[in-house]
Amino acid sequence: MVEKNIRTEILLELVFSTSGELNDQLILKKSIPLYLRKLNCFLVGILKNTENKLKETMLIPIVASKSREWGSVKSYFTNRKPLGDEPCSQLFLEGSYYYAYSLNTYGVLVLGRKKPFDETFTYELQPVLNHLGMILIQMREIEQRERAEKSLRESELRLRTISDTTTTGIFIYNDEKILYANRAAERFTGYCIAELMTLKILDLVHPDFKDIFQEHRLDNQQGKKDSSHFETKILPNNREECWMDINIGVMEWMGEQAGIISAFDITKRKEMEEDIIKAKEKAEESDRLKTAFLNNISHEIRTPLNAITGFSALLTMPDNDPVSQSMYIDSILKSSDHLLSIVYDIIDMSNIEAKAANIQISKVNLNTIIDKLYKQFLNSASDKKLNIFKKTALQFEKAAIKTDPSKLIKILSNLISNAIKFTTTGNISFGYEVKGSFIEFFVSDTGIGIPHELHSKIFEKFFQVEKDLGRQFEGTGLGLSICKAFVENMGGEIWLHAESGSGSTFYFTLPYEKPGLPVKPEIQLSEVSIPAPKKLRTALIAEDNQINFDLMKTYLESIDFNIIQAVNGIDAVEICRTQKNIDLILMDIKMPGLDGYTATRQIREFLPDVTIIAQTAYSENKEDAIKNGCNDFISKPFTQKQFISKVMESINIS
Amino acid sequence: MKASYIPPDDLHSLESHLIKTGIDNDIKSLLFFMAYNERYSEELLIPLLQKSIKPIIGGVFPELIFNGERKQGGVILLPLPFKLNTQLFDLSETPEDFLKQLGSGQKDSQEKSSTLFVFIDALSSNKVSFIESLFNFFSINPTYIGGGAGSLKFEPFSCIITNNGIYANAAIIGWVNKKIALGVAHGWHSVSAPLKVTKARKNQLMSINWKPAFEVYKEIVEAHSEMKFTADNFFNIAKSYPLGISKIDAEMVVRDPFMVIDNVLHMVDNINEGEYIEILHGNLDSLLAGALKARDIAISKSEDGMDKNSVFCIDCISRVLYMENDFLKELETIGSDADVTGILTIGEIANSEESFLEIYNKTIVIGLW
Repeated sequence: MVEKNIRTEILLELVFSTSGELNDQLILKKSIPLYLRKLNCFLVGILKNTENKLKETMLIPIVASKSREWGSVKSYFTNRKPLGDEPCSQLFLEGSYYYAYSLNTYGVLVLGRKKPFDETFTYELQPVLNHLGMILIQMREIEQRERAEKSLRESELRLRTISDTTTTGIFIYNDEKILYANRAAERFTGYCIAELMTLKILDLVHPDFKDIFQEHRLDNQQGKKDSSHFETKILPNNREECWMDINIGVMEWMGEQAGIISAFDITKRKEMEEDIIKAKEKAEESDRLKTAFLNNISHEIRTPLNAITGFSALLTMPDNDPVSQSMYIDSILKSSDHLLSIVYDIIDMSNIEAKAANIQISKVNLNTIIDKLYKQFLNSASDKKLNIFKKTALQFEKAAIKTDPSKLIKILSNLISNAIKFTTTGNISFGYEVKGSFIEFFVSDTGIGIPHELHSKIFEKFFQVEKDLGRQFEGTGLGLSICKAFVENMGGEIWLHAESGSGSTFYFTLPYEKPGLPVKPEIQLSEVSIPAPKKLRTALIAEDNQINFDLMKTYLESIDFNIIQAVNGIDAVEICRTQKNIDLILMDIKMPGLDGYTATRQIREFLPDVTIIAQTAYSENKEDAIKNGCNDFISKPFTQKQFISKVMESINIS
Repeated sequence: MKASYIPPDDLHSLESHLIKTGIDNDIKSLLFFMAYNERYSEELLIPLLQKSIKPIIGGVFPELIFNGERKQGGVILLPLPFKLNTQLFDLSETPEDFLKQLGSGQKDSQEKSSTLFVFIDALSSNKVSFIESLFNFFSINPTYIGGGAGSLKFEPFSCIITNNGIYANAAIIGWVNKKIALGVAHGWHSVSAPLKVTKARKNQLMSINWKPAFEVYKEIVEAHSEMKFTADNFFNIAKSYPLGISKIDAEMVVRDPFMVIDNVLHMVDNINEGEYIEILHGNLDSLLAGALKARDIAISKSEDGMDKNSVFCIDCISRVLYMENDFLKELETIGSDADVTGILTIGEIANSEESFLEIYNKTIVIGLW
């Protein structure tokens, strides 16, 4: 009786040994030594059910795990379950008794003893171990749940961190109402989260895009595998509208279907896209204009060339009468002038494009220029029965300024030429006024005028060219853009007052910079006293083109020069060494062998004083010529007047 | 192989005995037991220990047994005909450390028919985890025999002896690939119903059946003994009424209360909360019967070649305190036709290939080899 009481108390002790611990491992750690001690065992092992297999997770003594005997015991009990009403599986091996009790679905507990248990006791022990098994299962489930909860909390924290730190705005909404928004959403909507929660999604969308948004509304997302992706504009609070890249998907939120929007600001990208499109359109337009320009230029060049070649051929006919010949020559000259002006325009525009249109300031008299232009255009105006007037605001002595005279003449020439071209009846007037620190020039006509909507375009390159092929007026369309570029380079502005059918007045300003010294009057060819012919003057023409040589020879012989020819730079240097009486050298710059500038530098070594004028068809400039040792520079093509004037000027100076 | 006894204050004799054992080829190892009273100082003893070329294990114990007599002072040298694989442990370390050290020091000590001598500082708070570590490592392969070293003053001091010196809060083991015959018994029997330990911490019993432990204990003991506890007679009564921890199919494990403070019973060794205990009692006859039983068990397990005329005895000092002068009878009982040599310990360590290793109190252990 006492013995039974002891067994009962021991069993009770084993049952209560599971209390107080919240972890299956701790329960086992506490219980197993008690089983050893109380049940007088030499071994207790736990085989835990892991993925439907029994794996050893605890064993006392530890050293038993290395023994072959234990391996056999484990193997036996792993593959065997108690039969029928057996409380446990039993094994007798190498003088020891082993008992395996089920711990429910947790696993199996194995006891090793030197003496067998009383059979009754094996039954009495079963519910104790069953109870242990249930406790272990509960503890394991609690632990798993706690792990899951911890994992969930960590996952939530991670998601919250991602949501709060991402630069992508995130909205969750249902029935259009915003249920959740993250920090990024606050930043680009300009509303705080509390305010966003009172808004509907469509409240944020630009009116122009509400329809697009509606297409992607939540009930349209149901069943869709992929999210919707589109771009839209939104209306942030107290800020300008901005572009957003939107993805809409569906998710479950608090047990209900909700839409999730991820959005990021693409305003800058959109602006860049627009810029690119504009640049592309501009480039395409420019390309279009260039093509039209080239077509027109081709026409503009071919037309005078046709006259030149045609009338030149006619001149060779043997039976030309003087009147016809005179007419032919006149036509050739006029066509050459026209062709030359086209070439000058192209050269000027290409210099402007290449930012090589340098300003060369010198002292000029405005009244002299006005007078010169008046005389130049008087005949053209008269031919069209137009009246031409000039206006000068200053007396001659006070009309001197510092500016680039060639560009000023070019600007006024273009404007006056246009005025004459676009006026059929009436008057042309031009001149200047002093307006504080600027001189304001004007060219006015009573011509066809210019519609107001074209005022900004009229200074664009090729603008006139863009008119259709049935155009009324010839021209390259470069004149006004050249004027504008020159005026702005010289520090001025250009504008116009005009209406269609009411004539036009072009204005431009240039800085009014007074020169320190009076300006020398320009030497006109007619004023130059040509020295009495002296056959002593000798000119060396270094030119590899025979026609150009013949032309210059003709010009120079007309002012009594002896001519020596050199066909290249080497020849020129050699001739200079041997011929000491050369007064003037006309040096072509681009020649085979030795170029003109190199030849000039060599000649300067032994003829430092001889007058050398650089002459070329390329867009060289005077500075380069001077730098390389020349006295002056003349660019082809040139008229006889221009050529002789340059020669005389150079000789007189030297 | 005969043991030698060296009285206290005879260092020269001790030294010469140690030298002799050193040159005796039949002696492979030495058990060194020193009584607490008049013990040699560390300064005197350590040089002698370090000079010894034979493995030495042992300790300082309350008393010794030599040739069937109590010795309250002096040294017993018990030569062994087999070499011990010895290892010292610092009991302030963790069970993992113990296992690691055992793994490196005793990796070849896994034979089934083997013996493990264990002497441990009885006052160490880590005794239980060390004993568990020993069991975890050795399992039931060896026969365990040993006991707790120290003094009845229950004050810590260096009491574990090895070749290298004397240590406190330590344990020493010696393993040999030879089985000794062991018998364990106590002779105490239950005088109460099972009682539940409802609150305990280590060796302190705070409550029994949710009541203050001493109150419950006192009630039962006073009723049985017809004696009354006073402020200064606790041990005089309690020495006759130890506690017993029940086990299935085995002798109870006895726990020895040695003092009470604020209704808390202080035991020599640990008692676990939740365990069921009974109050035990014995008398001279039952104790002597226990001693005889232990001897008979040892003899029954002895093999040919074992010296049945030399009995090694590990007896609990509290049995001596209980039996007082009648203790001689116990020695006579176990050494009726043999020389009895041994130690009186504070706690006994014994197991014989059967079950979990435990520390016993008030128990007698007999070994033959």
